[in-house]
Amino acid sequence: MFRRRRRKVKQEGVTLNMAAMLDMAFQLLAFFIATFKPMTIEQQIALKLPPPEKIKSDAEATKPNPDSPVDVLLKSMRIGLEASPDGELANILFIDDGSRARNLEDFEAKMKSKLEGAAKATPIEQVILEVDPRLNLQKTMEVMDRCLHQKMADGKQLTKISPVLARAGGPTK
Amino acid sequence: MANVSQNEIAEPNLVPILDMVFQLITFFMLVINIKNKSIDESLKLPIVGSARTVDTKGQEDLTIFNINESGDLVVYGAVRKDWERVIATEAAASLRVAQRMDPKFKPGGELPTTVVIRGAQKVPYGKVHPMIQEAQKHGFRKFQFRALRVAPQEKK
Repeated sequence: MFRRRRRKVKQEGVTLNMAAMLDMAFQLLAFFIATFKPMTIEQQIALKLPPPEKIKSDAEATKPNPDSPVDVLLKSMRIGLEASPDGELANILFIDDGSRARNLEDFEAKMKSKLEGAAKATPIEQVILEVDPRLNLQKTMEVMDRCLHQKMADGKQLTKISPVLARAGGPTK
Repeated sequence: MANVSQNEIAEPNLVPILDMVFQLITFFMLVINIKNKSIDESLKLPIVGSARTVDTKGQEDLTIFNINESGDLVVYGAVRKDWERVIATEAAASLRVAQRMDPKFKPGGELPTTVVIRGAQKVPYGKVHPMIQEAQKHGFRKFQFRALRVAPQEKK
């Protein structure tokens, strides 16, 4: 480093050496560029998950028992998700009537018609997914996502989805 | 023209370049996300086409569960086999937050914290569900399953 003094006839000023500061600023900049890693933009499926509530049977639905705690008895649709040994979705079973869906598109269409059919008699208020423990999270979330596309009898979006683990040997028949 | 001594050298004005560099430094400092530490970026999240953008409106308290392919809970980069204890600790912290917001809040009520589940695509649901159940047992009711809309390699 050297100090340079500029001589002028009548005027003498102080010159700051910016080069050192610039070197430091460039080093800082290099550090931030090297460590910069933009975060992947994540999306979400938001669920309100109370523990599954008691299921209201068809008999209870048509003849309500005044002694039963009606607020915790909900008319439910039970869906069984069966997995192949490698964790992929093997089968989707509508447990209440024993019908099956071939794939997710078929499942969505069948679920829609079942919800519309049920709306006339006893509207379905919650969906219970009995998930095979081997089923991977990817497929479980795809099914949840299809359920969230559905609407209840009152036109509101279906939000009460309770995933539970299926018993050993697959969903309850 | 003024007299110029022979050893005078050209001196560029470094002030504008210094200004620009400081602005760049400020930008990079602002975009550094400190929260990244709680997120395990090695996880391959499920891909769900219609997942929605995360919007907590800056108000929500979040607890992040990173669950790797083996079904282990990863907290700040460390695998925690004692996940029940981790969840209990998070619940206690959330209870304190709830009681600070509402002094009448009693244990057993619905906790205000949202549990964010960042599970790997291939993790069996049988490994995730016990953690959800444990969280429900402690009073957590709001859950978010994190996903990507497109696979990372498909991004342009």
